[in-house]
This record gives sequence, structure tokens and C-alpha cells, in this order.
Amino acid sequence: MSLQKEFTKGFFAENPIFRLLLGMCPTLAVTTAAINGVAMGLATTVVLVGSNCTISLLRRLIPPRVRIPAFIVIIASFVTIIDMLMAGFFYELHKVLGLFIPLIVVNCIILGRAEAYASKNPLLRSLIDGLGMGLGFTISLIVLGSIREILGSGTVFGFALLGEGYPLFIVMLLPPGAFIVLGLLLGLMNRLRKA
Amino acid sequence: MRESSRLVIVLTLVCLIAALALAGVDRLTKEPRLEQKRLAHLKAIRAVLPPLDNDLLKDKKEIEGVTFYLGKKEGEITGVAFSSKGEGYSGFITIMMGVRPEDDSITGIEILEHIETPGLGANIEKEEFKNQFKEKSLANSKLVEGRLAVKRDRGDIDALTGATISSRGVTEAVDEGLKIFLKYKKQILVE
Repeated sequence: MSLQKEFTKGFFAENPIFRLLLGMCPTLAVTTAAINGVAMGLATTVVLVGSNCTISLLRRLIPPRVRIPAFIVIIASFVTIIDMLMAGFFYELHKVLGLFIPLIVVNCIILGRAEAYASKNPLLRSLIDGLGMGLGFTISLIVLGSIREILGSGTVFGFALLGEGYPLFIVMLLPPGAFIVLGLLLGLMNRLRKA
Repeated sequence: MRESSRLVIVLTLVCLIAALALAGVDRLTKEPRLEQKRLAHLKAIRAVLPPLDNDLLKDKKEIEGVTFYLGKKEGEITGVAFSSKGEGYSGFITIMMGVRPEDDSITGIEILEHIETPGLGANIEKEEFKNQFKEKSLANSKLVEGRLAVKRDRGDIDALTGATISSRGVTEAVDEGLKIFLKYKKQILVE
């Protein structure tokens, strides 16, 4: 597969949310607004690129039978280090992203890519895979977040979109709304793929 | 046997390196993290008090483990700031609140720490929500069983849509705070 394809597969063909159905916990939890999608997506991308690179470099040293615990230790350390560095040196950013960071540890995309890709591929490819998957994840979160924000709050990225008198679907901001929108988008993606 | 000892060695090494890296970063960032927290704390105190002209770090009092910061204008105490806690949806919500000694009403509140759900409970940080507590006191609010309460519980605090529990947490923190202030008021104000 060409490097370019390696990058773009995360956006559609192997999109983590809509095709692989990975990372559902943070996806459903944070997509109540478009801006949350940006924050969660970018934070995940940084961790994904970091963990993919590390695991790709260590892939020959880690025996297959202990790979999963080793990966988990590496990923959790990465997340904690980023959390501490942000709290110390980028406090404003940490105040916005801080709530999302613990959620990254439970994101299966990171472990999924480590297991399915980085542990079998060289450094450059793993880096590009992490970047593409991370950005594909980010865009999907923004789409999901925008739809829920428009229907539930009448705004998108905080800007008022619908008039005052518009009846808001509060349910869109609650967990059931996340499942409903995700389900409809999955159906749409499958339809588009068949066509 | 050799295979299994290799597994043990590799996994131990991975954990050891991770532990060293974590300890190193923790040490490296400890001071800056505490400093940032102190700055945020001071900023919150200034935000909840009326305009002041004294040194907050000097004019503070510690009573029963609570630090009260006295805001003064031309020597007069115009507000007292301190932090309080309430239980939210996913954990404790810590707030900084300012109280005017004249009528025991609130001059402002700021959220210091919380781990509420982004997009729902995390909206307690929004100005519209925090501002509704201004001017409230135990005397001028609709109390339910002696406590401040959200409208759902027949009180008069507007809860956030979809985040009643987080709103209750903040309300509880404010209520506790007002009571703590009244309890120690004499000690706080005495010169």
C-alpha cells in the first residue's frame, strides 16, 4: 500500500468510528458539541502517533505473548506524561482538554492500532497510520458533535444557528442522542459504501 | 523455562522504564504544576471578590482548615473569599466563592476543579450558570429544608439542562460555603 493510501485510509475506508467501530466510549461521551470533537480528536491523535512510533520501534524486542500488557503500560505512560506536561506548562489548554485525557487511555483505537498495525510495520508507516487514523477520528467526532450540537443546543462551535423559538431536542445532548446519531450515520456510511 | 524468563525480563524492563519516565516527568513538572494551581487560585479569588486594593496573600486567615482571603478597599473589608466543595456527577466539585460581610450575600463564584462530563455537567463553568448565584444569600433564597436547592427540588436555582446532578453539586457547595461563613464570621472579621 502506498504511503498516501496509508494516510487516507483513516478518513473513509478504515475510518475508526464509522468503519472499525473503535473508541466508542469517548466518542459517545464527548460529542455533545463540535468543539469537544476537535479537542478530543487532536489529543487522541498526539497519543496515537506517539504510541504507534514507540511500539513500532520496540516491535522486535517485545515477545508476542506479553505484547498486550507491554502496550498498555506504554500507552498509559504516554497519556499520563502528556497530562502532567500540559498541567505544568500549558495550563489554559489543560483546563480545556484535561477532562478528555483520562478518556484517551480507554480508547481502543490506540491499543487497536498498536496491535493491528504498529507492531507489524516500520516506523514511518506507523507514524503515518497514527496521523491518518487520528485525524479521521477527529473529523468523525466533529461531524457527530456538530449534528448533536445543532439539534440539541441550536448552535455549532458555539455560534447560534437556529432561531430563538426553535424547539431543541435535549435528548441529543444525552447518551441516547449519541447512540441515535451514531446509528444513523453508520447506516448512511454503509449505504454510501454500497453505492 | 528460558522462554518464560525472557517474558518476565522484557515486561519488567518495560514497566521499569515507564516508571522511571513517569517519575522523571512528575518531578520535572511538580513545581510548575503547583505554581499554575496557585496562580489559578489567586485569579479565582480576584474574580469572586469586589475590586480590592490590598495584598490578598497577606490578608488571609486560616480557621479550622479553611483559608479565608479578605478583600479590602481603603481598609474596609468588602468581601471574603474561600473555597467550598460539593458532590457532582463524577466526583467532587471545588468552587471559590466570595461573600459580602455586610449582608452575607454572594459576590461571585468560580469553579476551581471538577471532573464532570464535557458538554453536559462541565457547563457549570459557563458564566450564565455561575452568575445566577450573585447577590444570593440564605436570607433571600427559597430554602428547602434549610438548604439552597435547584428548581427540580423546589428551590430557586436554575439547573443546567441535562445536568441536574452537577448543578446540585455546585448548589450544595455554595450552601455549605454560606453556612461555613456564618459560623466563623465573627472570627474572620475581627482584626
